[in-house]
Amino acid sequence: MISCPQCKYQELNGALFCSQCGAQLYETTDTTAAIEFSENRTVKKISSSAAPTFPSPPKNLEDSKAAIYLLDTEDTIFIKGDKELTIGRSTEGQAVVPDIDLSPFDAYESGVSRLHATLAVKGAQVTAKDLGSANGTRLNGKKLSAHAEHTIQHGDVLTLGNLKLQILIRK
Amino acid sequence: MSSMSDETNLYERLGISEYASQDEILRAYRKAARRLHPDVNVEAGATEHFINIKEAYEVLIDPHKRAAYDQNIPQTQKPAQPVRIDIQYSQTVIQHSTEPQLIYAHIEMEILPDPTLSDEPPPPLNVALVLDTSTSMKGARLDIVKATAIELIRQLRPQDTVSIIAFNDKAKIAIPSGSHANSRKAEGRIHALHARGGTEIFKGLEAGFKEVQRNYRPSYTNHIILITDGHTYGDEKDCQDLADAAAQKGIGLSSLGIGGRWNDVLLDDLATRTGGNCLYVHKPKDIRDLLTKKLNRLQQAYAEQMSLDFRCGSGINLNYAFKLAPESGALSLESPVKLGSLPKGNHLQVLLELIVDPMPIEVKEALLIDGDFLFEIPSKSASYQIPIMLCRSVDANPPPETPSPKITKALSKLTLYRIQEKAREEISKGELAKASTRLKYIATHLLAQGEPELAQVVLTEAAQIEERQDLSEEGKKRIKYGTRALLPAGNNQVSES
Repeated sequence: MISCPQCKYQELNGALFCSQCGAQLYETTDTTAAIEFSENRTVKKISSSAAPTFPSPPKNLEDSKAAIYLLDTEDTIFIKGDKELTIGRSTEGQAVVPDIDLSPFDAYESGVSRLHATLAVKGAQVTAKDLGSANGTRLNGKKLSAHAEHTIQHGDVLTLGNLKLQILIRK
Repeated sequence: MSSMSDETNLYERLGISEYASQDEILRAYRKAARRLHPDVNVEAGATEHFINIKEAYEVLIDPHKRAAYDQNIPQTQKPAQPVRIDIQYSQTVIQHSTEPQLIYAHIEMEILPDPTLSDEPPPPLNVALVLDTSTSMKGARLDIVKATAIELIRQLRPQDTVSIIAFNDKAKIAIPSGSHANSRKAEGRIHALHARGGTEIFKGLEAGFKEVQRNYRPSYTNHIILITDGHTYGDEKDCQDLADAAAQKGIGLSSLGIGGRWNDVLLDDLATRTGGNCLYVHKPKDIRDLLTKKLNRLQQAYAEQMSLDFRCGSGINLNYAFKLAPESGALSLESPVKLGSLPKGNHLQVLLELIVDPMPIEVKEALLIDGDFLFEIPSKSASYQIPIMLCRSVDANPPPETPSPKITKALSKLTLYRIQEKAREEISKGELAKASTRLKYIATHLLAQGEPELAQVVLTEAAQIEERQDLSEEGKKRIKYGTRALLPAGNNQVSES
């Protein structure tokens, strides 16, 4: 028998949810894929001057001041207006889905957490914050402390797990 | 293939079909191994035969290798696969235990298009609309039902037939079964319907059943749709018998219940018996949308009269069965389980909860369910019988594992629906405090799952339960059909035609 942690009801072995109170009875192992970093991995600093110019956004996003450029797949995600957005990936059945879902870009394999980081755009000021992610967030190769805001410059590269995002800011 | 020693198809070597499940592959292999293993069979050629079978098994049991193999099967060797069945379990291995235990199985069936056939149109629809015209329907309810009925008749295809039955304490055939596309006369008769009298559902269904039978062909999509807002008294048993008789002929029965004062338990039961479904109409203006969708679904039916004929293995009991898609609803626990029709491109998804009796140590493999999926494809004039077998190996110390997300996702919602059922049972036994606690649990989960509106309905009902000694009639339906609507509908979308 399994004893429900919430209501103490005795369920049969193999039960996945408590039939009395609905509590989940199985262990969730959907953790973020662990990424192995090689110890002496070279940090490739991408200088701001090498950053591409701000691309021209599509019609409905003309007022975008910032954009995320995925270095591996060369996709661009435009951010409309001033706001704080969560970045991560979605899994089936997930209650809270991030504003920017990187699942289509192999986020899981790259070790991106479900809620990995936030990106806040306020005028020309852009800041990033790691949300205590499993594999961490790096800014131009340097690991960010969790839950602290860091200012982002045009052309800076944020690495979520192993997924590289270059932040482009319109001057 | 690595070895050229035996050119025959790998499936043939194991004596299984190309849509065999992993379980069937495993069983076929074990059976052959017992017979041909070099340790037990010293006959000439047996070892080589065994090696061939082992080779086939090793490819087919691995989903990646199997997919690669399937791609390269010469077309001439490849029989048309009518369906693809995917079965997932809450645990891949059952543990030896002196206690009973639960195991869940998620069965998904997809009917594969037949490339040798051109796109046949879906079968004609033969439907009876059974409309409640009792006094309570007066006003917006009947007005919208009438307007929608007229609109739907206009949308019918020339091959479709329809009848309209108006009932209160008597049944009246407003429009006899036939093709009424663009019929002014038929529209006039619908306009003339007005509300008065009581609600005797059996009388309406009986007339509807008769009308459907007048243009009945086994190859059509035959269906009765009941629209009501009232309780029927004393004729429940007759309604159930009629549903069983309809199911026998492959006629489905679906219902739309409007507002709070109708018997959801009865109408859900009629749907379960026939493979139809039962929908709750919260606001009269939703009638049009729900009825239109229902008819579109029926018009696009590809497979018809699906059912599961099964028996449980020894020591196994089917404890709960629920259809997740294409339309959600509780299923019968008795064979045959009526599963309704399947629109083209949709998948059938069923979740089973099985109780496994104590498994002694000498048992190495448990047969859970053995049976057949039966269905018709009217556009091909063909009936199908697809064997299905659910079995698991049994082990003393299976490795820990995370259950399939398909199962956990469906169960996280279905559990709330079932707790709601429990709360209603408790209320009927007068255990109000228990029921109230239960509702609060549901509300907490709803909030966590991002359903604040429904959570509020549940909390309001929980707060008033002592005073009212019951849930409100409206609340019962909103909680029941609200939690049911949380279930993932999978890929199933019917295009609006």
